[in-house]
Amino acid sequence: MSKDFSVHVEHVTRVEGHGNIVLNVKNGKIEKLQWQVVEAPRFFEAMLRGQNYNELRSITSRICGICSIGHSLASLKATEDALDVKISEQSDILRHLAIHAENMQSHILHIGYLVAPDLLGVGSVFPLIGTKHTDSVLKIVKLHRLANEMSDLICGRTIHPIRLVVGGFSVVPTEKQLIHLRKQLVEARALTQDIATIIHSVADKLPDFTRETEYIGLRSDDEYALYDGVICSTDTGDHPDHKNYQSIMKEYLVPHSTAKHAKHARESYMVGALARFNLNSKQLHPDAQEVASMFGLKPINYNPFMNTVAQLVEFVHSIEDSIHWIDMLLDKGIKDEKPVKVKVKAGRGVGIVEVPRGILVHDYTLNSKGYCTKANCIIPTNQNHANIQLDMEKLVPQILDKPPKEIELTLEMLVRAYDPCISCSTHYLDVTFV
Amino acid sequence: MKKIGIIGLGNALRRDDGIGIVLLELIQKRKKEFPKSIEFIDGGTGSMNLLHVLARFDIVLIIDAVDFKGHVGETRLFTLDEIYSRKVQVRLSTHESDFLNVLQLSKELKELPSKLFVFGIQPHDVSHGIGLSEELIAALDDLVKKLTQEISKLPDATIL
Repeated sequence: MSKDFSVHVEHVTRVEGHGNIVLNVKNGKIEKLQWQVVEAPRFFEAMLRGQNYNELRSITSRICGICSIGHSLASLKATEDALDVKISEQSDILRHLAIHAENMQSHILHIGYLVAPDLLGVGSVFPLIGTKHTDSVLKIVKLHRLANEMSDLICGRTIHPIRLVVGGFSVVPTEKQLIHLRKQLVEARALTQDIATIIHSVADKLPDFTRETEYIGLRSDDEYALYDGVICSTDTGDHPDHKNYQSIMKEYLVPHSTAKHAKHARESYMVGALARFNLNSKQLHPDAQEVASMFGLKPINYNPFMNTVAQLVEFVHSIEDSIHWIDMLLDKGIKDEKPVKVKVKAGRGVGIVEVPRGILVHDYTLNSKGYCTKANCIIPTNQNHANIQLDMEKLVPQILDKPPKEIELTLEMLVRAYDPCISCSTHYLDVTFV
Repeated sequence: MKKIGIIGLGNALRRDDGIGIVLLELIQKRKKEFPKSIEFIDGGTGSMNLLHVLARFDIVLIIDAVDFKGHVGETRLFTLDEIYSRKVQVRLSTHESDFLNVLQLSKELKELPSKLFVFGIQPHDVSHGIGLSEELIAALDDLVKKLTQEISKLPDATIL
């Protein structure tokens, strides 16, 4: 079919930050197709230089209001790696709980507030209130609130987790608080099943699209890797030398984007919940595996739209794994530990964790007085940009006969599936008097 | 007694955009002067998490940088009606959802505080970087004074 049209989505909605989709079609042929990231580049690596090792966590936690716990943990792991600090078993367990809290918080926000409206055929979550979907919205809010409360309890506060410090925790939750949290998590099981049923009932709206690509994430022999593990690729397997991450995550610049892109064994790779699922699905809790089966999600799944389903699967896993860690803490008895004492020295440290949107790296070099002389951060969303672009290039020819509005929505849904966080450090109040 | 939340918002990595957080930290140092019904919260860049914070309070005062085309360091108090009626369009964060959406959802859930104000401060420099502009640093004492006055005007918030 011969036709001319263009799609220009300026600032795709329901994603974090500003990205554009540009598609020009002439005589039925694609003349231009770009996923453009147009935000001003962030300079937080430069902000870290000259800062004391004790300040690095606090600064990096401000990079992102959603992944502040993940940035904090990557930062602490990098600092502790540089200073040869070994945290206690209790701190290790609490950090596992912290990362689950953030994963739950971010995933339910993405599934419920950002993706569900596409599947239910509305522009945002707000028109759903007052309809037959009111109950679903209330359940989403309840689960999001629980994840927030869990973050507050473990980390001090959700937004800037002050209890997470070099060497452990400044304050630990009490036994009573942990018992209460456990009860809430048990209650959340049924709510989560309800949400899974609702999403499943509209899952046919997720486009059936596949493109083979590489998936990269952490992997561990001991658990479904989030807090710790080795870098692993579906193409090339384990890469245990964590300080050599740049041989895997090769960042480069492209003219149409202010954000860095990345590649490894192929032209692009994907990180995030689907990547983790593809690498580690056998280590998921049986209940989470059951939800994956319900949606027909099996590794290796090459449909990026299934990232949202993988997030739902991870949400179930995070609930169950958190209950497991809380039981372990209660069994051992929670101790009022102080953070491990630090002996300042020069060195380089690399901290790698899985945050909701994928694998995150912080790399610091400290001088003998403990001041940062060099820093590098590899952000999950930057690692996904090239994959989004290549997905679009395969997807558009397959849907070119659809009406432009439908093509536009499908491309927006593709971007949203990746749950990108483009403007981690952007925040500003615009007020217009009318 | 009504529960009062004083919420600082902003991004401390974007210079004057962090004024809400800086003022919150300054006022928090004097929290013993305020009634126990007042809770001080660092809300960072806001986002959907604000929904849950708002649910805990009867009265909320948000402190944030607001570009209302005033002089640098000038302050204005916006009421909920002003924000809600779109007389002013307030966008608290580029993250995920604007403030109006959070307010709308909060209202639908019947959790919206009965009174909500935004204490807006005109910024000068919101480029990437740590630390306020010289102009705002010079205005800090005055800003703390004005903020204290606004807090003391809140119902049940008499300063001891």
